[in-house]
Amino acid sequence: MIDAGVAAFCETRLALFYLLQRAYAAPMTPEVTHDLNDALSLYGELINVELPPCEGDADEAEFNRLFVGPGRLPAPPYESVWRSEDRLLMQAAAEGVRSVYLEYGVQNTYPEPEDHLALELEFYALLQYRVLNGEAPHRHLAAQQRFWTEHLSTWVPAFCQAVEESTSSPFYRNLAVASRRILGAETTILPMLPSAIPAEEEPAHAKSV
Amino acid sequence: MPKQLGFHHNMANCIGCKSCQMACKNEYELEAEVNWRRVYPFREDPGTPERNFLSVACNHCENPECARVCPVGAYTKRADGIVEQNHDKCIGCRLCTMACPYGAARYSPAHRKASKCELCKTRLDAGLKPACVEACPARALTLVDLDQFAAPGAVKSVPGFPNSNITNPSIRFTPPVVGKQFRRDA
Amino acid sequence: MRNLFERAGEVLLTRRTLLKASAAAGAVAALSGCTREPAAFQSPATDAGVQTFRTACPRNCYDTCGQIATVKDGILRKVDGDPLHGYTRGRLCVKGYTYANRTYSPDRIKYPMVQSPRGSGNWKRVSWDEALTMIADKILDLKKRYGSLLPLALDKYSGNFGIVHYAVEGMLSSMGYHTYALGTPCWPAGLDAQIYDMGAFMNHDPEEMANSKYIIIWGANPAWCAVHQMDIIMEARARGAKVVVIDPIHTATASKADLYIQIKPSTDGALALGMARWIVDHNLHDKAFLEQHVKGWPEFEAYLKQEVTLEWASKITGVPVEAIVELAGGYATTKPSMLWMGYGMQRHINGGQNIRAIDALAAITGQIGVSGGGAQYAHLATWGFNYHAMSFSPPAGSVGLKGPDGKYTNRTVNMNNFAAEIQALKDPPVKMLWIAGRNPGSQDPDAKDIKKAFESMEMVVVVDHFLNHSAEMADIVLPCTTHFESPDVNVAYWHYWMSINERAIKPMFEAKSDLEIAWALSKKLNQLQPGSCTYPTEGNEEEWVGKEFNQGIYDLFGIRDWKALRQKPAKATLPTVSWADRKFTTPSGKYELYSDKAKANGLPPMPTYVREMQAPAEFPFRFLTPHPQHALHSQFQNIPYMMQSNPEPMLEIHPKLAEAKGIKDGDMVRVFNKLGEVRLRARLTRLVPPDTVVTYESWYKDSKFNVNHTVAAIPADMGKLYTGNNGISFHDNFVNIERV
Repeated sequence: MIDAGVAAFCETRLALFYLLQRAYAAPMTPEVTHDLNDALSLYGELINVELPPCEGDADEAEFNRLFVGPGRLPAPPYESVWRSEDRLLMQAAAEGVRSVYLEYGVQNTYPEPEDHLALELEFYALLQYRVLNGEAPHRHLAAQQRFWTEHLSTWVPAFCQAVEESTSSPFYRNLAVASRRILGAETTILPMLPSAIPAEEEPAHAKSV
Repeated sequence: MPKQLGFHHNMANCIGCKSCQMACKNEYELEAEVNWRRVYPFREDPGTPERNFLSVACNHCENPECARVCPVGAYTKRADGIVEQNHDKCIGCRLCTMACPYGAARYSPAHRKASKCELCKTRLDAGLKPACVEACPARALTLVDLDQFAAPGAVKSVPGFPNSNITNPSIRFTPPVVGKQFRRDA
Repeated sequence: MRNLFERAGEVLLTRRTLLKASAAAGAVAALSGCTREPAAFQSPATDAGVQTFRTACPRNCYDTCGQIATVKDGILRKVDGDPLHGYTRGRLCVKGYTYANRTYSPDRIKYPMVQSPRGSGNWKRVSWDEALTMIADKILDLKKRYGSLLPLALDKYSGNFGIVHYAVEGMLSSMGYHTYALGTPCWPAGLDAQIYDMGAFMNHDPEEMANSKYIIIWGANPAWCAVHQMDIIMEARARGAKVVVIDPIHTATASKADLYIQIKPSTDGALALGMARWIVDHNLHDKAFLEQHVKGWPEFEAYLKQEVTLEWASKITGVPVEAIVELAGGYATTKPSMLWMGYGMQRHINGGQNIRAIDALAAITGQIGVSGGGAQYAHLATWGFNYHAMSFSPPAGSVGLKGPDGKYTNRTVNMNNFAAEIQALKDPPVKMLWIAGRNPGSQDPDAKDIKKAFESMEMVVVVDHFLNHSAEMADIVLPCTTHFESPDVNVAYWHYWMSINERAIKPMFEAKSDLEIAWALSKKLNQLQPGSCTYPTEGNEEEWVGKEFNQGIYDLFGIRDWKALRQKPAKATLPTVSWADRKFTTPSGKYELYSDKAKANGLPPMPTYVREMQAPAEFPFRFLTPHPQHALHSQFQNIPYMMQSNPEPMLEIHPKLAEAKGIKDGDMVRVFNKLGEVRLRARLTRLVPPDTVVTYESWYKDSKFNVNHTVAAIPADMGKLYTGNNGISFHDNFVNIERV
């Protein structure tokens, strides 16, 4: 049986990564900003960032300028771009991520390559969900560890740095700082989880997402 | 079994189109900064200006400097003369990039390793020509077995090509030919 | 505080999860590695898990290469030449080998986006439905306000020459009578010239060049622009041919010539006439041919004898008399001798006339219709498709421009004077632009005026891959597919081959082909106003490729079904030697040295010399801006492989001129005239003449560099006959320079 405090913490992490996915998948709304701030506050000093209210149209334009186009992207949200010298899509990272998704029985329905940040974050959250609700939590924990080591951690910090350096939007700057710190916090958190979560567990929450 | 594979570069035909350079990058999905084959404009002769070019990849030398200096023994010379690299062994020290007189070894800052032309050894095994040779539209590049190669007028070096007797590079050139010119600045 | 997890779940359930359960949730190979650590640089050529597709390069290029696209797990890995294409023979050019690099640029336009205000850089992503609604609303609004669709103008040319891309023209027509840019900036003066001379332009099979013994490459640079022809030239040489290059610039092609003649730009006609005079003086003209097959020889001979001397020709062209003699002698006595005129050389005010003078040499020496001979320029003999994608008419009751017969038509503007004419139109004015397969912001003369033209619009829609100078000034950009993402069929205007273009990968992001855009826009228009567009609202792209074929094409190419092209490209069964039957399609049925038709069109009836444009006093240097090596106009140069290989534009300047202006190698130079200026770095070289500066036009990544700030829309002398408007004298551009 999972300790209630640990379960709550895991749910927070789950919500946090889902909400981050949302933040990078599309322009923000006040509701999601509010929820993200709630999640961030639960992390407390580990993150110590609060998101300012998003500025509607201005932040939508900034989202597009940073992550979508139509011009040169200052911060392309694709792992391939950061891990290939020439800033190209569909490189080995994209393929690697796709095989991981296939192995886990999910496929991409977003009109973007598999290594888009929103997809990687959602996948990471999905693994967290399976830790809480799946039959073999340690297997999913191990997968989460690997995905963080082999994918997310290899590029997201540099990506966040680029966002911070090229944006004048307080919202996106803080989001980038928060994202960087959240990823960084995983270094501390991930190793702690296997001992905090029993190996075989019945679902604590039967929600399906 | 060929004894020493290498290139015959016919500079008289070479138009500097860079198909060879780019075909290699296309084949191995190299980064923009890493050119296993490089097309250089020849320095202009003030007497009879020409647009001439030199296309150089790896010369699969008889005495490869890269193999000599590599601290982890990543380079080996095959029986057919190809100097290949065990990329896993490479530690990115860059000694090979400094030692090679021809700039064959190229360093990738992204991968923090060096790499170079391996004469398309896997293509050769499959009965294909090297990508650069295949791509050349002007009959300027051929794969030859230097043991058997003979072309009238072919030379071991041209001005501007680092002529190293130490390494004995497996490349032969047909030098560029300057045609008759009627210039307006004569 | 509600359970965060629940709220997060709600967020996702109401929006979307991006990852869904997949059908094949089976075991997969263990998590694969991270970067392609080049542990073993695996060439996809030797990898068993790859698929290959036949594609065809759809760019505006002589070679129109057959390609093989190698795809692994749905990802394009590399693009090679198709070994079964008889002209391109398994090779591409430097640009072709960068296609994977280009297809996967993160800077590609991914989604429909709206800029507000125009030119501000403030872009908002919209759905296709929203974009099409905005566009359709505007179209219907214009129709209502003006009673017709004439306020909507199409500017399209050759960004993609695949046949199905004529869906753009079809889409515009299917909405109503509209305005469109008529003409071509490319080759029209020469086309007309050959029509006046022979009745049509029809080059030999380019492989015929291997049979020639004396090849004159006149104002063409195949080393950069028609690379596959070099192999044929090398073959000719191996068979003992001499190669001559005539060009104001000492190009890479010129460096392969046995004889290079550096000619003053725009004076080619005088050189040809000088040669003709020498040939006649030495009795080397083919009297029998002239008698049987040529109209106007006596008049032309009289002109040569009265007006043309070698000294005259030498003075005008800057070519020494001895060179003219050598050239004329070589051409007239080393037979068969072939002339190949490039397109660059006819981009002058006397370009068409100069082509006629060169054509005349082939006629005078009886070498038209001869293997290894002739005057080669272009053809369109393999383009007889149905143009089904274009074949939709305006809705019933549409109003347009009223013709003398009472029927309605579209309205045209001169593509080669686009900015000025678009702004000048009234009754009704032009209020909306649709731009596809064209980049006027980079490529049209008078870049400033193009900007003004865009600014005067109520809506500008640009369909493209990258945010280039035109897309930057758009209200709406629409993402289009590359040729790897959409099927098509391609032919060329030089060689005789046809290639299928299979879909190799799925469209990226939300990109659509021009055909899909046509279907979608039609659907939206009909939703808002039933019957407002006759274009089909859906279809199957592969089927539509099939609909382009007819029995004529099948007979010409000797195939029974277009799907056979998936196995290999096909070659037209045209005679490899054009005009072998000497049945010229001129009014007289003969080669016309004297053309009444030309005269009726206000042109000299004979290929007499028309004076080249003179440099004005304050702008004494000619600024040539020919085609680049690393790009095709504004395509390719912006991608990483090209930026690494060719990082910035250089101004080629002769050391004498540089010295006179105090310019050293590497200095920034300002090149300017009344119209505007460009700034770029000097590269001192004797490969250009002392009175001419040269740079190669292109669009560099993130750069405002654009030679067309100095280029005015000066018309060439011909082009109207075949293409509706005269060409542009791009190379009659005079400037002054100074060190920055």
